Amino acid sequence: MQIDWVTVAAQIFNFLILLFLLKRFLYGPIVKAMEERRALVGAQMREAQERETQAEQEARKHRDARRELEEQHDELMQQARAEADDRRRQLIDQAREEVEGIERRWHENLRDERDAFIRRLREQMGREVCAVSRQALADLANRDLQAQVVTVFIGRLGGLDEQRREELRAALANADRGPTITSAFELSAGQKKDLATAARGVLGGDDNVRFLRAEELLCGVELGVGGRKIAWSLDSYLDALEEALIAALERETAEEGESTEGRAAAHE
Amino acid sequence: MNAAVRLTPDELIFFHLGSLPISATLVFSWALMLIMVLGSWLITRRLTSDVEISRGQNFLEVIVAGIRDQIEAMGVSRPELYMPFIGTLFLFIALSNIFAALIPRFEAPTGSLSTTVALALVVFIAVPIYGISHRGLLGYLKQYIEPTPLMLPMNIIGEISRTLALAFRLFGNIMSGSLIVGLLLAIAPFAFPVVMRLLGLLTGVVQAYIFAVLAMVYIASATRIVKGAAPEQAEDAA
Repeated sequence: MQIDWVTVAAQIFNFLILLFLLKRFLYGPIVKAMEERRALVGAQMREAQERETQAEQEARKHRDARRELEEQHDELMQQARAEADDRRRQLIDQAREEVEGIERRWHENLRDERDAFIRRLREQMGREVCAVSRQALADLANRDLQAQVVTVFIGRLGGLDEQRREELRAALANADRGPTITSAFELSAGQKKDLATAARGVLGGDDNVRFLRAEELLCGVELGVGGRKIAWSLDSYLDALEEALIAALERETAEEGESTEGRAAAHE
Repeated sequence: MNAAVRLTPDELIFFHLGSLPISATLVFSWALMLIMVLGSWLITRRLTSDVEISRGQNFLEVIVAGIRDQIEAMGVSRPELYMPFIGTLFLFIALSNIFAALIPRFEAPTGSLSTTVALALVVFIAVPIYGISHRGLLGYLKQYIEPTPLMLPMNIIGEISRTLALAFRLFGNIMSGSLIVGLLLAIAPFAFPVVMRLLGLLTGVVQAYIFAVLAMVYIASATRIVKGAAPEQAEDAA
């Protein structure tokens, strides 16, 4: 166990060489690589941080844009809903007006139809009544209805009061034509003669009496002097019948209208 | 020569270079140096600063970073200045001891008193060099007359004795380790020497660590403006 100074010197030399070589091949390159990596990682971290910041900004921008879009969407939806409500109300009003128009027209049509029906009915009834009366009178008295009508009319002329006769005479004096007897049927020569006589009895004088035919008189006979008239026909009876019928139909229509309005209200 | 009798590889002469006898200490030192330099060169010639690195680079980085962290832990402001010196000391001693424990017939150069004296002398010279470069010649020399000029002889004796202690501590530990293994091989040649080898592996690395740490502590105390009690404490611990 002794110190060999040659070896000591050699080992010092060896150590210094080793120190130099390791510094050259180990510490230098390794430290350099580590520092470079540290710088690289730092740069990457900074870059990543910048990207993150950028991404956050982008995300915030997107969120804002989306919120704005949602707000716009809500606004548009409200607007559309309001417009739809307005349109619905308009359509309902329009439909109501149309329905009311249709109802009005229907009522008018109904009225027209009723009037036409009544007219037709009156004519028909007049004819029927004439026919029935004619038949009944013929059956009962063995005389036809026309003769009976003429008789009744002549009786009526004879039964006129003095005031009436005066009015008729005054009318005749002012008239530019003579008296006219209008009948719904063809008069026989005897009937014409009786009627002319009766007329002259009422009017006085011997004016020539003109005979005319008019179907619409309905089994009736009429004496026209100037603007005045004395008549007998089924018209007066039929007028009463017509009034009764119109009253009945109007009642019926009013009831129908009420029930229709009730149904319409229930639909609304 | 019997291994049990031979205390140091200095006694095993391999060949003579002219009149100079070349001992096993030098031969194994050169072999070790060759392995270290060649290994470093092979790995560091393909270094990358990328995040993906090779296993070898990772291994060397762990070692270098570990040494630097240890130096930094002693409160030194610029560890990169001392790292080559302290790192080389540690790696040479540690690898020498590890190879001796793992490779049969490898004689640890640190088992030679000549080697340990040489390393202690290197430290002995490095301390004033670092101290003067940091504090200047006067600043460095002033520490020998502190706290009072009366302490000058004591300080000088302390400087020499700690260098001797450095050399003998390492030599004694390594030499005794290999001696014990040699003796045990003669007495109980089975599993027991293996256990002692493992123990030698542990003490080898620990001694390398102690040597490097003490060297660093001496340098740190020489370079520091205000002296601390750290060197003495560390030496007591060793």
